[in-house]
Amino acid sequence: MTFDIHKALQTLAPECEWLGLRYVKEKTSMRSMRDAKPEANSIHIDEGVMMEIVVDKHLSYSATSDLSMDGLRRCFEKGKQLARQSRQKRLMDFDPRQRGNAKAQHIGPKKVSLDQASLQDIIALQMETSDLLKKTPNALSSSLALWLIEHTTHYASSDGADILQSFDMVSQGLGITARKNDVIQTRTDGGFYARSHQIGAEGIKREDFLARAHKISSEVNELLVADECPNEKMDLLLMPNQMMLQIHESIGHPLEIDRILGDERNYAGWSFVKQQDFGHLKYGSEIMNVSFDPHHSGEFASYAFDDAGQTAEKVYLIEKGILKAGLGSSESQHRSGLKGVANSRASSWNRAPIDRMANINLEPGNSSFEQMISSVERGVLMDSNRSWSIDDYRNKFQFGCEYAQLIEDGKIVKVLKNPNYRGITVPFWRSLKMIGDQSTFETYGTPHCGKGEPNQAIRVGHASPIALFSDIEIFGGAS
Amino acid sequence: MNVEFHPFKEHFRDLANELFQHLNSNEDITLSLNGEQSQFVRFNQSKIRQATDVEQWNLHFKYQKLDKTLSLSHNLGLDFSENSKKCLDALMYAREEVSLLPSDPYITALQNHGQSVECFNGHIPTLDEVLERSESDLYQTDLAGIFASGFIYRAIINSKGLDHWYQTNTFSFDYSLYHGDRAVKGLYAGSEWDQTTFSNQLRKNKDKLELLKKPKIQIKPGKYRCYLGPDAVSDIVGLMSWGGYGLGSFKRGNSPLGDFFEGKKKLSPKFSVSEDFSLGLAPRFNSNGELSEERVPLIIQGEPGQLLTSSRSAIEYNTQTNGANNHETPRSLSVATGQLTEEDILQELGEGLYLSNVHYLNWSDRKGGRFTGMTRFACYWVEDGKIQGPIEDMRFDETLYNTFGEKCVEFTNFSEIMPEVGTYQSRNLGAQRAPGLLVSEFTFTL
Repeated sequence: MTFDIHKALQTLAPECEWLGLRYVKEKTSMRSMRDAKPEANSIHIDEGVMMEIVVDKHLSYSATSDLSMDGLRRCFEKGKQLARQSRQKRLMDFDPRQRGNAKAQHIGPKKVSLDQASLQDIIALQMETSDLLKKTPNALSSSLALWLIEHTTHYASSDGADILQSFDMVSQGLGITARKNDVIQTRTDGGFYARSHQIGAEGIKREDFLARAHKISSEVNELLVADECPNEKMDLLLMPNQMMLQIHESIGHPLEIDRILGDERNYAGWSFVKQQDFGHLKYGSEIMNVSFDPHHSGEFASYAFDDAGQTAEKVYLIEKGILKAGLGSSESQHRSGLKGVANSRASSWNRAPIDRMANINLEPGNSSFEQMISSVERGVLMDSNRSWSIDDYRNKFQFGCEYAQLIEDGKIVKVLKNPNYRGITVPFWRSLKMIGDQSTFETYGTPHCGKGEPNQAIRVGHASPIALFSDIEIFGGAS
Repeated sequence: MNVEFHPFKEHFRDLANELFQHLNSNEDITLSLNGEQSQFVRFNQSKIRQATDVEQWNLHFKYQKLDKTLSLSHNLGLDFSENSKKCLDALMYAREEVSLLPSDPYITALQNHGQSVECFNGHIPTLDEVLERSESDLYQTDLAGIFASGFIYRAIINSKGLDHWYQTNTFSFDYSLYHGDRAVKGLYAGSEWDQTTFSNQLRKNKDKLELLKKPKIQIKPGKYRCYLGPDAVSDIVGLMSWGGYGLGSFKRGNSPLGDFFEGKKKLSPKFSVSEDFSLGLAPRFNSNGELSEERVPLIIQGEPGQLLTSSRSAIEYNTQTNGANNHETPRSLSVATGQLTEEDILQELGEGLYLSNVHYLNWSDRKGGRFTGMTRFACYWVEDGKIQGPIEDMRFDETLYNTFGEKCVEFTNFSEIMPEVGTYQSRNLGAQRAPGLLVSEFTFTL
């Protein structure tokens, strides 16, 4: 059965004040191996439609996986009934001006569609990489996974919106755990699914897999004999794969306007950022520029239109360290009076859209990696996130990494294990003293940003150069 | 009691029977169904922020041929002929793809693990009733949270004769009451709405909120005597579920309890943890249809009990399965109670911190069993056995070997059941039961 969104809209729209339909179909192929043996081979197809139904200026949502006309009718009637039941207690009125009405098609970047990817080639690549990982000295276990995602969203509304977007995405994971006596260490390829991008089958490269497998195989053994990370205040140099997490937790989430408005207080939390802070708050040092960039090529959460049908454009959130704009959709902009972005996003057809991060990036600076290292008298370089925790206002954080190196007198002197650091968001970002140039700029993403009630796990992208912070509380593992 | 099954129950069996007729002698199939008819009503400022109705049916199709396997899943509607076609298409596809896959030495041969039907048709209120009943109670409060309700379905059939059906009709009202930036957390869940119970809970939480209106006390980083409420204990033992109780994780060096299960570190004899399906909030059959014992002891008075062992791990490590799911995570975890009475908590705490809830836990050193997290919601400073006022949010960083080992003073003689209220992709099933815990020392860092 093929879902006809126009027919559904034509049939149901006359029976309410406003109707939006968002059809989503997503095919996820998961290929994973552990210790050179198959762990999972699965194909999941998620398909359904979300209806946004307005009755008496009140919007309610109704979703179904039953795409027959009977199923759609039942879904519509339940949504209308819900709108009637909930309208007296509504927080706000629906305003159709918060929705876009473009007619457009957008296809994400790809050279070879994932549906053309050769399963034999993928399996051969996985077997070869798994064999290499398994041969790592002291290996306890190794794993490897590929997610191949083919996504389509079709949004149409009674206002005339008709937007079809499709994306191919690849998430790649490599990891190895090794043991020597009582020391156990794990090394992954920048975080297990950190290599998550919008790309086609051309993104799955044998030589890249093998090179990364060699690298982590060597580094996990470096960790087995490494010293514990010291406990002291000193400089902290974060690699882009850890900057992803730092940006995500201490910039992305606190700037979500629905959080600032209190929607998330029972679950993900509130925010230390207040509505009056926009345009004034010195969030970080003057070299700090952060953008919402839905058009950074290949970044995981790129798109042309959000789930409210609004055109997505690059917006600077923080310029020269000053907070300029929040991560709020047209709906949140209307509620708060703040400047926002096109970030009304739902995890799938069965969830209502809320304010989400999408791609949040730290803009490159002008320092080379060598210049940054040579500027450090005593500090630690940290690579690949392995632990994350922050309070519900997004102030006090503590993050841990897989791999670290001690820097003394401008030189990297040795590898350290179990590195952690902690801080408070604004003082931390104000201590940012150098930002890497374009040559250090890397793009990562994660499939697992959790938020919302009901809960939604969504894809986000973060691109960043290397960044150097001064006077940070750094410490090691348990004894 | 009249038992009302969804028409999908018979349809699911028909789908399976039709499919099984097409199987060759060396092929097997497991069909699993995950369905829900749910309503989610989200509140902010005691008003409705978003209301969503969701009906979804997901069919998981696991095909096995000798030592190869492939999993396929697809959403379904109620057009039964369409569903039948999808299943047959899946079979054709699986046959073709499986021929390309490598052999899996740990594949579990399908078995008939029996048949069961469990149906809990509770009486849950309509949204109109909830709004009407809670209106007076919520007057002049600032509530944020979610009311979720409706049917949840789980079923599994395989080509060897296994056949389980589970359906339940429940609600959960997961909320926070705010006064400025101070908040109290509440959860009312079940299958029968009792207005008196709900009103009493809300009144108690409003009283707690009054206590939070006192000036905030700034605590300096350091080590403090500490009472962890049942919610906080549940969150910490929940964190330990990230590989802590599973055989595979232990063998592969990823268990935060690795040193404990290797006999290198001790826990308190007052600490016992089990997988306990007598709570009745999760089906005993796992995603393979295998049944767990009603009670699986994991930590027995501070000594190692069983490790959760899936049938796949059992083959890989040459041991017996105990009906664990594929991820070897608990589905119905229970922590044993102790001797500390509710009336004595503050007195026994004397001077220190009373933490009702904690937030965003993670390992700061998984191998060492050290975790970090934040205080959240109703957390107080106590002196001379009396609450002095709420504290500013604090970060802690402590090992589970201290918390449930040498610094463990006593568990409470009561526990609370925390039903699973997670809704990623769909409403989850399961629960945890935990008591409160007094510890002689807990480390706060920021």
